[in-house]
Amino acid sequence: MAEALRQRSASSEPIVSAATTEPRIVLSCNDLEVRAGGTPILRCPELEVRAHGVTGVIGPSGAGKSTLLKCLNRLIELEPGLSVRGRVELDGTAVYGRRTDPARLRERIGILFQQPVVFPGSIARNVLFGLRWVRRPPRRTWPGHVQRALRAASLWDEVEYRLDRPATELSVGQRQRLCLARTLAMEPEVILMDEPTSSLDPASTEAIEGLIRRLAERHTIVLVTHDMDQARRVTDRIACVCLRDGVGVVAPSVPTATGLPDPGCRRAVEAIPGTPGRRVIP
Amino acid sequence: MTRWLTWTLSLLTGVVVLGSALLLLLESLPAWRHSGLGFLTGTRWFFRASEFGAAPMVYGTLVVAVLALGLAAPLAFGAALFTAEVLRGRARLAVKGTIELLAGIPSVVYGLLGVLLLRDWIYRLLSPFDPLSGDTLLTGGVLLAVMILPTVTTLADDSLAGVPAGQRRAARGLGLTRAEVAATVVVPQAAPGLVAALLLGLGRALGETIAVFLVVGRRDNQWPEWLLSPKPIAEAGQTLTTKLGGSEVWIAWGDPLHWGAIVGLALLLLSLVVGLTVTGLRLAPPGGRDA
Amino acid sequence: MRRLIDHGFTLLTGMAALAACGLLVGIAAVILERGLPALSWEFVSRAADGFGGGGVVYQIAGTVLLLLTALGVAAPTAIAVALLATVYLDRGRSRRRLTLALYALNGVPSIVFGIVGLAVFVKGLGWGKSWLAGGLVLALMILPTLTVALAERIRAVPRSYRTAASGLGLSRSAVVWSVLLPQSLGGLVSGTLLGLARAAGETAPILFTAAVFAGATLPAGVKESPILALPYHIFVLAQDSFDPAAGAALWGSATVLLALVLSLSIAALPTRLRTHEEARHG
Ligand SMILES: Nc1ncnc2c1ncn2[C@@H]1O[C@H](COP(=O)(O)OP(=O)(O)OP(=O)(O)O)[C@@H](O)[C@H]1O
Ligand SMILES: [Mg+2]
Repeated sequence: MAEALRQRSASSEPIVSAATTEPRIVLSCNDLEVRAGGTPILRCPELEVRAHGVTGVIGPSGAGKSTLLKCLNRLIELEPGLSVRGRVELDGTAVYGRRTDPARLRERIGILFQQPVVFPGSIARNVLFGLRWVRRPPRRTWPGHVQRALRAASLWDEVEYRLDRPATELSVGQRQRLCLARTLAMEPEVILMDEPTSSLDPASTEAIEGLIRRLAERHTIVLVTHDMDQARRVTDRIACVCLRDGVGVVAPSVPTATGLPDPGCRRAVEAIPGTPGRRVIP
Repeated sequence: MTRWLTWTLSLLTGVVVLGSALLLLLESLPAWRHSGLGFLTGTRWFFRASEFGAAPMVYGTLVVAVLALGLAAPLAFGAALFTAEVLRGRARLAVKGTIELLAGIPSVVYGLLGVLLLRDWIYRLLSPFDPLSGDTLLTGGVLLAVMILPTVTTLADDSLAGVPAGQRRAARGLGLTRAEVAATVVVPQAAPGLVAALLLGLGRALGETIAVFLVVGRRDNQWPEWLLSPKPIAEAGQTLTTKLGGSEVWIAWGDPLHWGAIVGLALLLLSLVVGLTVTGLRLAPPGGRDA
Repeated sequence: MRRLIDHGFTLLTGMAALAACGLLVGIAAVILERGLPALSWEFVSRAADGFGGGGVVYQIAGTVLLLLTALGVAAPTAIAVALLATVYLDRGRSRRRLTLALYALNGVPSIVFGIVGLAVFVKGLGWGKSWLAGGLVLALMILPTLTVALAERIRAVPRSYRTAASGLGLSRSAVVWSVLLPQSLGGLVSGTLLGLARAAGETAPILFTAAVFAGATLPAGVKESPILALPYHIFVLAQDSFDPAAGAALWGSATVLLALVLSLSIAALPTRLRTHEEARHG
């Protein structure tokens, strides 16, 4: 089904119907509530993320999209002043369970931030950063890991000959892909992406969107965007976060093709200044 | 593992610090039992007669410290206003750096200069009053003033420079001169920090030992006839620290009561200084926020 | 009139600043003027003989031994306490208390450390005067300097680095070793230099715990193994400064001590000033 939707979103290709079985649910939230010092800022009554596909999260600025993503891999716990209640499950295990190790969890659920965060040091070091400190693979396998991750993030051709140069020399788009490579090196099951194209030019945006589609074949992706056109191009299902009485509320996901059912959400999303639709080469 | 080590080492440090404070308290018990509050108010210290009154030393300490602060504060605030309001960029860093280096000179070196230069100058200065020597409370005060000057300057500059530059620009935009901006905008806002700088400088002055030791004369039981009489200032005296740094500590060693009195002095000094420091920090929290 | 006051302000404050800086130059000049003639290779390489004759090699060795001991104890402890203050203590309240305690410890008069050392090591443990007692007392004395400098740098590490590293699945300890400590090394180094500069010049804490004027070389054990030390040497000579032979040794020792202390604090200066100015404007 994910495959079918992808084909439809890239309308230059004929629609082929594929498997019809419902895919497995990888991540689910129930009655989630985030509070900032007592006042709620985000509610998520129900959200499901299905395996191998792109689930979009759309909504106006400040609604709580980034906050929602951080809830999914417990990064929210590192934000001072925020507290979370409710249930999140990853493949049936409770994300906020007492016995769950947040570090192991974040290994399985990778994240890409709105602004790429590049550590001081070489490109290769950056790619290996998580791997070296978490998995500790033997030194001789490092070059292989670097190459594989950079290829998967479509950055290899651009940096092949300067792996030892400081990563801060890269452009913003390249940095975003470097961060992706760093995350991919950890081989996560789920990748959370927070507006990965927000600071990129159209060409880089197209490249990243294509990359996301390809990654969706092996990973489960949650993509935050504020652009309905991008959502149509890239996502299979879409959930909407919109503000009600000052609190961000997440509406359950629906197939992107059918559009948003909730009129409130539709209005909120239409109010976002979008860019005219662009074609994507998948 | 890291977490465990962190906690263990930190707790160990905490235990050592608290244990030391507790030890001081326990070891000083004999003196408190013997003299009671008289330990604080008594004006006579004759250990062979088991008389332990700390008041003359507290008096000496306060005189020296207040003299030092009175002399250092105008100069320090002036210098801080200059570095914070007038100097910019590299010049500012150079002056600040020099002043910080001044703070790093060991107190024994200051003491040496006091012995070889300041003592004679003070002697000449006081010669109309026919002093016994140049070793006086005044000498200690002047020397201490030089020593705390960098501390007070640096702290005062920190609090002045902490006033947002935008406010200065806004006030200058209204046509105020630099002096007027300093007087009406910067200083009132930095006031708690300036007071804190004074308190912390005072704390340093109270606790300084070696330099004062070398120039203060260390004469016991100097008690003024009336409290604000200026006469003892031009005479030799004793402070809490110079008593604690003297050889009487070795004599006290074997006698629990005498030793208790010495430790009692240390405790007195400690509570004076820590009290001042904490008050100063309450006024102007260091670093402000914690991330 | 207003212009005049303004000029007066600049002039007066400028003179105050000049006087403050002039004091440093003047003090250094007086010491060097009298001390440099006394300096020679003989002076720093020979042992002292009699009252003020000979050289100061064992005084230098003793001071260096004290510094190394203090460094060895204070550096790991400072790392631990700084990490506690910035990473492991979750609540702002207990962090603030810890910071306050550190500043209070920093304010403790050095003679009180000397008395405590006398009570604990010399008397309590029966060590007599010992280099180890002096080193431990100095370590406790410089601990706040090291800790505060390091903690200041750790707080300056961008929050996004921490979040990004955690997002890759690094545990809190791994974040400490991979990001926080490498990024704040400068703070530890400058704090250490500054602390050592202070420890090198202190006389009061070693007065009763470690230093003797004559009759010691290098210690062989812990118990009853005092050392010679530069500041104590100067302290004793200064009390009996009428002897002209002592004069030369006195100024020579002061020059050596001043050179040691100032080179340590000058080395610490750049990082320190930068941290301070950044904390204000950044
Ligand atoms: N640590 C925090 N403490 C208090 N409030 C917070 C905190 N972090 C976020 N918020 C609030 O939560 C709301 C949602 O923020 P969030 O960053 O999730 O928005 P967003 O949907 O990602 O917006 P954008 O599209 O601009 O990135 C905002 O109103 C923000 O002010
Ligand atoms: Mg966001």
